[in-house]
Amino acid sequence: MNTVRISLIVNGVATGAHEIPEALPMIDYLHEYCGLTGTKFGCGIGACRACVIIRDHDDGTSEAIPTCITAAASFDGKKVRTIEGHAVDGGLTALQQAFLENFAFQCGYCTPGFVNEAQVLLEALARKPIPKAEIEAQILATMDSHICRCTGYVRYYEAIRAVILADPKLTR
Amino acid sequence: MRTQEVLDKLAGHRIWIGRAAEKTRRNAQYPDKAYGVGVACVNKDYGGGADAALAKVEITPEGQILVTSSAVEIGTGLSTAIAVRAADHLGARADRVTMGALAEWTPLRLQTSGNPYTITQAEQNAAASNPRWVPRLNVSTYASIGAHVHTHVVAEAARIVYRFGVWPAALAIWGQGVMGGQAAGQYLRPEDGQFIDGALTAAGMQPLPLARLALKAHEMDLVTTAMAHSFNRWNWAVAAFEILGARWEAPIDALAVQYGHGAGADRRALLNSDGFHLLDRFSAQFPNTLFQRFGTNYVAACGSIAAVEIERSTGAVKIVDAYTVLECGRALVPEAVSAQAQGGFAQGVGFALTEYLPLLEGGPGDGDWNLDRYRVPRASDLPLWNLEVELLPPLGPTDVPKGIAEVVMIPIVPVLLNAIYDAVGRRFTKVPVTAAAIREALG
Repeated sequence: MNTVRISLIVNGVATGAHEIPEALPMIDYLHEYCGLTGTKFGCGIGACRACVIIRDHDDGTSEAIPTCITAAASFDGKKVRTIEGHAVDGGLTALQQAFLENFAFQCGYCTPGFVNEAQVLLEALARKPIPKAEIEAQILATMDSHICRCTGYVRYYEAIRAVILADPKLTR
Repeated sequence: MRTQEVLDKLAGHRIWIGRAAEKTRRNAQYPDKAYGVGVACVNKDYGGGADAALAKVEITPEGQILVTSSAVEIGTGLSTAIAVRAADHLGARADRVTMGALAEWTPLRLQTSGNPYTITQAEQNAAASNPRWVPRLNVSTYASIGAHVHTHVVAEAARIVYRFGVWPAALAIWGQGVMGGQAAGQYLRPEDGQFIDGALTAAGMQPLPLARLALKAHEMDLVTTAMAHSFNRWNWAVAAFEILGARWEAPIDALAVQYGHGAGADRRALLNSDGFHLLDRFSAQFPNTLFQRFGTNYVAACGSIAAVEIERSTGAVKIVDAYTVLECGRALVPEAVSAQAQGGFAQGVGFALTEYLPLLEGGPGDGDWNLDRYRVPRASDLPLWNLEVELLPPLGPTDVPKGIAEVVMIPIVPVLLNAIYDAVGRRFTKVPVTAAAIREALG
């Protein structure tokens, strides 16, 4: 088995170097090498988006990447955030708090993916606000690929809309 | 059953009243699309006919409410409902709820025998003379019983902690002072006690926060923990117990209590090796075995309306507007009930329009079915911002919380089939109704 050595920044913490199988999926790396089990394995084929984490680029932008079909080796030298990296000192982010207050999730399996993807959306809107009239279409365009079996999505989407509307910097 | 009220709600809804005008308007504006409205209403049974549940409710000297349940949580709804049910009698939601407890219940020394679905009346009568016997120990989370059966035993245990712990502690505090203190001159009944903002008052007595009452109950060796078992065969098993010298009849069939952290020697002598005082029931009444023949005795009603727009060239169905009305008795957590209805709507959409697995060859046994081919509805398949859910208000505060986990999905399937029929004039009798099937039917 071929191995590679990787080091990366996970939730602001320098992680590694780890010697890992070169084809090791990122989700297994997070679970087995980092002890971060909040990222959930859903379909295993990149179809349900339960397992997405946040990859932070050097130019200040971020993207949500599925970890079940992406090799950990491809994150060597990169910066990522997982569901464990949102709350600061036990204080939830506005998005996490809104999901709680809106009863947005039920079984919770898809929730880490929803939190990560929606957080990327909020940060993108902070850089480039959109008109209020486009909020609902933008949420659907960003979040539609995330599959949830319990909730019918209504409360997730309403919570995201509420967070966007509550921050005047996100819309114009 | 309040089916008539559900039907009246459907008949009076704007989507239903305006369906003809909207159809005319839309079909004129979008000749390439067909608009239609469907309606359906169901009564769905819940409960299994031999349901059992266990709960422990404890107040700590600091006033924390700790609840343990035998029920297994499969989301967040049941544990939230259980926390709320404790507040009925203790004035605050449980601080901690532990679900799926298996090993907690040894203090009750429960024994069981026979099959609760087939046991004869004579066998049940004979078995019931053993105060440790119950028809069934526990059941899983199934048949939409959580809100009704699993929270019932929590409420009964909390009621006992209130009546034999919190209430006598309050009487003691209110009775302090010369000539009976502030309680002198009032006849105080336990059922008059009311928690307002977490503090107990009755007949104008000084409101007392639960923390103060809990500490007093512990100091006085009153009941600070109740562990109970309940059984339901389309009615509750009912038994009487002697608690602190008083007769207490309740819809439970086994009970053990604890008397505060500072229990004195006489109370300590009553405790079994698990630290509980196991109480022998008397006059136990188990539901008649004839009830085994009931199909069901508990139902909840749900009605729904949906408007669809079908693209004639592709057969694609878009749900543009929808309404669901639910008769759920008392909604313990209204947000969770409407969330269940929203999820049920989405599952109904999947059943009617998108989800399919072939039987036998080519089916799931092949191991190559996944969410790329098995189409669970996505947000874009739903009338996400136009899905209205209405809960009928309960008749009164003591309405039973009904089991609605399943009923919320069921009407959605005929609603959509009816809406498709209204739109294109064709009846479909196989689900899912795919765009291809509609296109083919339209020629």
